[in-house]
Amino acid sequence: MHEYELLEKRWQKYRYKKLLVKGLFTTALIALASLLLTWKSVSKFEPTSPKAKVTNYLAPSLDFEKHLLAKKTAQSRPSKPSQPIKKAKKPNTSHLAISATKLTLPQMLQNYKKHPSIDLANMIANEYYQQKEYQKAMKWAIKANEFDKENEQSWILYAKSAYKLGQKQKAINALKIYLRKHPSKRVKKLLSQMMQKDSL
Amino acid sequence: MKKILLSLFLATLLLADVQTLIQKYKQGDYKYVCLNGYKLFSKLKKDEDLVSMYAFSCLKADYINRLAVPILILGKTPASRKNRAYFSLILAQKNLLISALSDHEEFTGLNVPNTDHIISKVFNLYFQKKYKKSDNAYIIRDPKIAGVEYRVFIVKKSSIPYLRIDVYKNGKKIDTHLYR
Repeated sequence: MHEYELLEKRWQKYRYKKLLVKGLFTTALIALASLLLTWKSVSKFEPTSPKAKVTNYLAPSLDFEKHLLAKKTAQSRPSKPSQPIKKAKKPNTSHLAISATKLTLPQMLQNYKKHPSIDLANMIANEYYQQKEYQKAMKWAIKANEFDKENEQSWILYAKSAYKLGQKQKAINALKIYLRKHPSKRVKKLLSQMMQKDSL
Repeated sequence: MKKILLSLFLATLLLADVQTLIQKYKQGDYKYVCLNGYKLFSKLKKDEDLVSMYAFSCLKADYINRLAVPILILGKTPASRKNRAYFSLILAQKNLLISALSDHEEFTGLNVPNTDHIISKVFNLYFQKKYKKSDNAYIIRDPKIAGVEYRVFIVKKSSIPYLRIDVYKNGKKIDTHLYR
């Protein structure tokens, strides 16, 4: 075998090796690219929103009840603030409609038995308070508070009833507890009244 | 002319306003809110909170067929969509129960959420076949409240089937619900 033939063989061996390395490198590149593409497409369809709650119980949302109180005060405002005095003296029909349709305490109690609600419990507590049955008023204020611990009206009714029953410290403590979380002007005023031994 | 004006004036006086409805809702007079809310619905439908108030009043007063209109209106907020689903579910369960009990339709593979409403309770227990049959009534025991059972049956009024659920506590009837 001539020397040039040997050289040619060695050169061919070297060429095959080079081709093999190139081929392996390209295959690795293609594999990596396809892997990246599939990962991207999978992540694209991942939900961005928080994980859905799996539940077999559908509870209603009673948020609207909180908004109703605000609505009532907004609607009860007179449409024209600068009305002449003569017009203001006219009987307010909307007020008449409400007072005429006010339920009695037994009716409220009956309604509460069927469909208990925080507003109704507060109303009953208020009714007992007006009738000077402070023990019962306190009991109903607690019932109202069981629905919502943050409900201002129930804390006020509880404190006022306790105060009237001579449990002044209990009343003050209750208002202080409420004020720790909620800076309410109404509660602050009531507390200062109690501290100054004012009549409620 | 005077008579017409007088009757119109009286009609406006008698017509309950929205404020009265809110007050009545708080007092728990749900029947009043449902019946008068129906008359004032053109005013209520502009506000989803008021529509919800009307719908819950009708639900609590057992006028559940009146939920159909609020179901169509609610849906602007997550809370109202939740309520819409809640009302739709109860209404559908009532209709399925009437079909099953009056026409002996058999439904299988029913898997829907439960709610706090009596219809949902009865629906789920009935379709889980957790009842005893006595004459025409299905006697269903509440698994969560001791001593409470529901007697479910169909009554016909001028050939229209009504779903009646009598609630018994320790053998004494304490409540009755009637649904068309």
